[in-house]
Amino acid sequence: MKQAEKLPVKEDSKVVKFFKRNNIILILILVYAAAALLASPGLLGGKKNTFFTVSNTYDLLTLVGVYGILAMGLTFVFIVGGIDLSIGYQVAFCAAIFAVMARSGVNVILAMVITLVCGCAVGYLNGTIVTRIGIPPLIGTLAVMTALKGIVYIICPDSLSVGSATLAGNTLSAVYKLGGAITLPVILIVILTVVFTIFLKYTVTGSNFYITGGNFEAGMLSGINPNRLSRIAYTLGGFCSALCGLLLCFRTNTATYNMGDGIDITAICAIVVGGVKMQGGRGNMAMCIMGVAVIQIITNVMNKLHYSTAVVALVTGIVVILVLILDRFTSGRDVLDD
Amino acid sequence: MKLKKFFALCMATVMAFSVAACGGSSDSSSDSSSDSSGAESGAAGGGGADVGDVDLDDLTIAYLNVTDSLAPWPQYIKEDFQAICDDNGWTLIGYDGQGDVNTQTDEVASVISDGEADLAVLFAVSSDSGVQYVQDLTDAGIPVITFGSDVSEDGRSNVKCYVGVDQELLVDLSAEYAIENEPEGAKYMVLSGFEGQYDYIARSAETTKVFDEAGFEMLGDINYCGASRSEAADFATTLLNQYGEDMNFIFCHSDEFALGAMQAVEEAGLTGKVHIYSMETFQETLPYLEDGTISSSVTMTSQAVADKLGEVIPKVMSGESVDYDQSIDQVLVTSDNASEYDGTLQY
Repeated sequence: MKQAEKLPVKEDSKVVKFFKRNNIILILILVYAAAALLASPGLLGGKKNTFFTVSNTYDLLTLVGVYGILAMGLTFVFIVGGIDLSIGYQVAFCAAIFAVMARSGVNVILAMVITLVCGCAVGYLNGTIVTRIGIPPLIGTLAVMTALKGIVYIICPDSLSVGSATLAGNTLSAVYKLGGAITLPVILIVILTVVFTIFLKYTVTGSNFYITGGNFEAGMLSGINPNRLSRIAYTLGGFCSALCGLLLCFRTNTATYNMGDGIDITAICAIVVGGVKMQGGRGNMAMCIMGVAVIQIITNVMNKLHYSTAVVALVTGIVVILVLILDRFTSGRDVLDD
Repeated sequence: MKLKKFFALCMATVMAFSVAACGGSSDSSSDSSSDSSGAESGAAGGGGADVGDVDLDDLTIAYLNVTDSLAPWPQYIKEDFQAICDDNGWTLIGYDGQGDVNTQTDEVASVISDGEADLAVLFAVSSDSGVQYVQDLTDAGIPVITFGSDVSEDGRSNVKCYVGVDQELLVDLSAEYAIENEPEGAKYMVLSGFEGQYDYIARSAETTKVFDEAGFEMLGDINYCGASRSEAADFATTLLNQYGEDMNFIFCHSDEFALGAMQAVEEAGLTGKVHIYSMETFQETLPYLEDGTISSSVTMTSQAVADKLGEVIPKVMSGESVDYDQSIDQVLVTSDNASEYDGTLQY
């Protein structure tokens, strides 16, 4: 008994504690390093390294920007303990609506505003279905996804060019590249990350998102309105999907019926890798962006090395599983509690 | 303590990786490898980037495919073209668009940032987004040839030439054969592929136009079967149950659906009474074309597309003038000539 009392208590160092809480940083560093190694001339028999270049870094930042904005919207939904399977088709729906208006000669700014409002409306609809009608989010948003798919096919059976639409005298694809190598999505994601982080950290509504996701009942008892907060989160998700749809539309001057296929799953994987908890109550925008970066680095380097789609999907899946295992080990008690 | 060591090891590994990766890594920047300075003016049928001073025996081609796996036709074109590249000593860098416009957009960006390609051959996922792709590639000094499905008209001034199928001719050949063989005011149903895909939209529009002009009546709407033979059989069964012998023929936008339709017609006991006209001749359908179970099909071979690409690329890259439209030969196959194709088709 006396001996037991003398046993020193193991205290983790600050560094260890930091990485335990934020293992996505470690994962990001490792994945980037592994990608750089895989693409190195030494391993490629002297071939040029096309991953570790300035131009590819800009490409990567753009990808993180486009998909990061979508993932940030979903992060709000995750934090309040929900899920939105319709984000992919929200993107396609909003892009199609914008393209229809732009090619019809509607003022581009007005078309953008209407598109963003439409995105918010779809998000709010999702929130209403989940909170007011009480349909589980998985089923409710799946139904909305199916309906949106139908609408998108009607509006945009193949692809819709935005035609000669311009914004301040520039074509939309030129607006997308307005900052040169630093494209519009990169600029937007920096701004949105700051704004959303401040919202989550320093506003009452933002803080209450975590209470809603962490303990719904406690939230009810403490006087906040978790259902209303959930609806706000879904609406923000819809806003981000619409923004992503606009960016994708700007990028190619086109909206296509299958524009949202697969990007929903990519966003979910990225958020999970980032450490945002699907059960709600935990996560932030930095985690989300780093999760997106991890997925995009993997995809990018595999594409640079010309692996087939099947291999890219396989590796991405394995990485997601490994990350979840690592998460389980490093944040042991938290995860077990979940 | 163990974790500390683990992190230290990780950091050391990262440093090592970074050093290894940096070694010999020459930043390509966003400039394309195809040097446009001193280039011969693109004399080819289309416009686009000037063709640089390229060694034809050491050509690097970025092959931007619509999909490598979701449909057999583009998949086999790639295989056939790979063989041609191997024979010519060309390097083919393949990109699988997965039928997804976002993926293909990323791939185009990758081709440009890699700066390895002397030429891009593009089977665009969407003809409209293809306009932006050819613009971006041209801006980067990479000449472009489109194949399989062309980009929209706005973008063609940036394309050297288009190699592929004339979708209208494909429909016309089989439809005209149907018009010759069916009675006035014949009733028919249509089995098509993916709703929203450019090729099938073009085929559907042409089908409706040709048969409307012939005074034929379409039963129901166009039935989109994806790539599924069984779905085609289900659609055909439903309408055959409803109309029976009142239906004169089934018009299929691929032999995949003709095989499904054939099964439905057989199950309904209407073989020989309800005829089947099709396109995209498969090896599997040749016996049925020979015995007349399927009335007609139209060839659209991947080998022909690959051969045509192999033929025009040296011309384009040496600045020679080529016609913009490089359509492959498409031939009507019926019981009269089906045996000629036996063993010549890839699938």
